[in-house]
Amino acid sequence: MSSRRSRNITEEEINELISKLQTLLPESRRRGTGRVSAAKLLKETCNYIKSLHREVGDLSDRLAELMATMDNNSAQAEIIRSLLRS
Amino acid sequence: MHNNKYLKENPNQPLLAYHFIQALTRINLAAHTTSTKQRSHIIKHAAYVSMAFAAGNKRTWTHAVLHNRFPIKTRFHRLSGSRRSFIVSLSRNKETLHQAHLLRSLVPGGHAMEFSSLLMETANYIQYLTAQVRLMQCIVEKFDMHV
Repeated sequence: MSSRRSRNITEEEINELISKLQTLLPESRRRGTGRVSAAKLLKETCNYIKSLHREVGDLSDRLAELMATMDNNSAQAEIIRSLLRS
Repeated sequence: MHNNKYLKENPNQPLLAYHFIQALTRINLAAHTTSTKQRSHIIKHAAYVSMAFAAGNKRTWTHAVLHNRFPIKTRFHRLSGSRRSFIVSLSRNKETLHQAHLLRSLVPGGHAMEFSSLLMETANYIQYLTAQVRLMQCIVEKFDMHV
């Protein structure tokens, strides 16, 4: 365990990790396949995470609204059942 | 390389769905006592907790979520982890360091991580975030059909 902590992380490994992050970004945020600066990739990653956080918030709002309109327990059970089936 | 496993692991979607739907069921039972705004907040919290449960306790970000109720208002000073990144590469420019600092604020527990760990945790965190979003979209769709 201690040997992992004292191992020197090389610049190359860092760059590899950063470019692997690039593969997780959606197509529209990837900024081409040529060499992109680490700073730009990190910035895009930040923007992507922020948009995901926003989506979670919006979807939470939506779910909260939908719950207000739904007072039927059997409908809910049906939803859960169909979700688990798919 | 050891850090490859961070990207190879696919989010545990069944476990994610299980936790989140369980939470939604509980929240729905109390729906008549909560305002929509309150409920939205509770649902959002449940989303992050489900993500953390599904991702497991081998990640720093899951610990941060479960113990600090993300988003974290962290009172901790920047631990040596982020300072160590200066030593790792002196050639990294100011803009990269600035963006890395911003990233630390977005990933739970990010300020306490070494730079390479931050990158790996970010990858894992993004995978779970996208899985959670997809799950919530799917549930909204089903709700919409039945209401």
